[in-house]
Amino acid sequence: MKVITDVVCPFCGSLCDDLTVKVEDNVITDIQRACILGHNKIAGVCLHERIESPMIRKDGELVEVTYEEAIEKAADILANSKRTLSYGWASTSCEAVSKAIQLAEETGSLIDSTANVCHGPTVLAVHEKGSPAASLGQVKNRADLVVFWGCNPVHAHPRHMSRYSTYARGFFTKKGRKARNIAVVDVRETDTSKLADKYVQVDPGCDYMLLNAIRSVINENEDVIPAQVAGIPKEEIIELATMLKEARFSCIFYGMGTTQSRSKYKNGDAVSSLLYDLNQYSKSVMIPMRGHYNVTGFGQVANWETGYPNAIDFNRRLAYYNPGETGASDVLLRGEVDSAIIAAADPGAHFAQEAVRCLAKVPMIQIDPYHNATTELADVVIPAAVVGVETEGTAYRMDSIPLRMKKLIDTTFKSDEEIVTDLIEKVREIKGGA
Amino acid sequence: MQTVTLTLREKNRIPIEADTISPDNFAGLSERDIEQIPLCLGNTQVFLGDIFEVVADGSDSAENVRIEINGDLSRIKRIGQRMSAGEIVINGNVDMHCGCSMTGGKITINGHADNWVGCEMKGGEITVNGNAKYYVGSGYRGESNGMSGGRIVVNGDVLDYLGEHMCGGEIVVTGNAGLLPGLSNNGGTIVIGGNTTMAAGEMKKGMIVIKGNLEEMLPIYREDGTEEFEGQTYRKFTGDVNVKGKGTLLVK
Repeated sequence: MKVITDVVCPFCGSLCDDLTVKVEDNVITDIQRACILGHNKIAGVCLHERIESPMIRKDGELVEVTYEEAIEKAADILANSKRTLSYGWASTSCEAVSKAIQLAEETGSLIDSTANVCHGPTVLAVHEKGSPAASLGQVKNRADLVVFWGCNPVHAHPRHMSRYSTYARGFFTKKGRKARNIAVVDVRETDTSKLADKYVQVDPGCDYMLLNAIRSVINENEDVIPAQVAGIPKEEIIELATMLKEARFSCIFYGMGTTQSRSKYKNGDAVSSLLYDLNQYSKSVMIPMRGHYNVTGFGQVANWETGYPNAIDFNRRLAYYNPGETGASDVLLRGEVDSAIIAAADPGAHFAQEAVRCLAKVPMIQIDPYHNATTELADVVIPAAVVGVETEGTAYRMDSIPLRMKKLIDTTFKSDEEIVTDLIEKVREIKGGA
Repeated sequence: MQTVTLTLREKNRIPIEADTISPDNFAGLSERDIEQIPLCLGNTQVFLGDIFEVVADGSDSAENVRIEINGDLSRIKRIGQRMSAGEIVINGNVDMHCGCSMTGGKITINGHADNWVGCEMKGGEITVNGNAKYYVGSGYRGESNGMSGGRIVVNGDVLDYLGEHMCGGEIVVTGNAGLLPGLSNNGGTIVIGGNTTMAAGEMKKGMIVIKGNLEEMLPIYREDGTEEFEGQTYRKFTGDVNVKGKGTLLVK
């Protein structure tokens, strides 16, 4: 029996690194300190049904084939396409992402991560005015005011509040929960808002209005604010702005409530502008609540390899970036691709219907450990090992801290990194040596 | 005078990037030469003659070149990119980046335009006799300066982010605009004939006139009397106060 400590959880952007896992005869028998999401993922590797064999769709049915046949067929699709969408790559290692980008470059494809339907607008906001940030450790140690804006960590990042942002006892916050004020801004009460000291219910789609009103208070332009903004009375806006201005160290954690509601990336941009204002009086930072455990890692690798964080089009042999034109949803909704490769994501389940229809019409390769909605549309399916359980790799936490995911059990499944490496080699062979 | 007529042979699905279609590039070329001009289709290269039927007449310098393009070009991007002179008339819809970075000349679109029409424009004129989509006359992501000169007229409606990061030039939209028109305006003029909402965030300089209804006013503008524009009196607002802006927002 092995007891493995400091295991890094491969589920959400909190990337908890304090799990302890017991392994007996190559089976996971106990997991300590994981939340329900992480527990299900790690334990599930030994419990859930996997895709056992590579498959190719023949006459409408997926038929088991050898790995070599699947790689050959997939490489053939990629080498002969004029516009491939490579999508996903958020629930896998940075090493795999690096290979995926190389494959996209060599096939003149377009590559995008799950940020396209999640925190993509956060990245767009960062292009505008930057992102005053800090590590989660700094928030734990210093923050006396934490704001959850348009996010619900109790559900989506279950240990976030206890490890980092609300209950954690840090260097200057030894009293834990009592050392801080917690504010929540959302369009309806949630399990997170019930734990807040101050809950502000903003009208749906009006976060941008509220953020601008708060800025007006901070900048001593209160006179331009009407009696009510975004459904909130002026006095309450002044109260929230004062809380922010008088904090020693505040952090705004933000989620889909800001990125996927009306005004989209301008909400994140308004948050960074607000922080610029607040940092004239106090210290204030912003951290996006990244969903997948390594979507941040995709952005990191893409940035240092191409100069851009996602939605990169290699069709003209240089890296071109323009979400709204080169995003996964954009090209699918316009029906402009002729093939796709999907890994470590499930657009079949999560994308808009029109986009899924486009995926259904084109040859599509899937790399995944498990059957999902995307498998129903795939023409080539290649099973992969689970990073952080069956194979090692690097991942980046929501605050851009890199952590090494451990291998806990042995497997015969190949890693995403190995599969993509084999695809690159095969594509080169087909194209006659690039 | 040099006239070139291009007729789309077959509507394409995979986008074609046609930044080589401009009076500057066609000036002095024969019909045969024009047919050999490369275009990008996905990750492959094709010849203009494969995509369009070409009829060319005469030979002249760019300012006397007139290109007429017929067909549904809704998957053909970047027509007229960087042109400095001459004329392009498109009889049909057109895809993204039409006329982007142009410095002179004239483009008329008798159809609908897609996103980023006239983006980063420096001079010249674009008229859309139809609707346009997002980011009309805007800048590129992360650039603090977008459109700096020239004139765009849309005889129809536009979607969100009209003229984002504009710093000069003029945009006139006869219909409605979507969300957040005139963001970060630093010196241009935008006139919206119809309705819009949340206009002029982060404006430092410049003017935005809304002839229809402004559904939501951002709480960043200070009322400052009235001003006349084209014979009508408007309420005048100055802002964005949070960036110490001196922009002018005229509303009914």
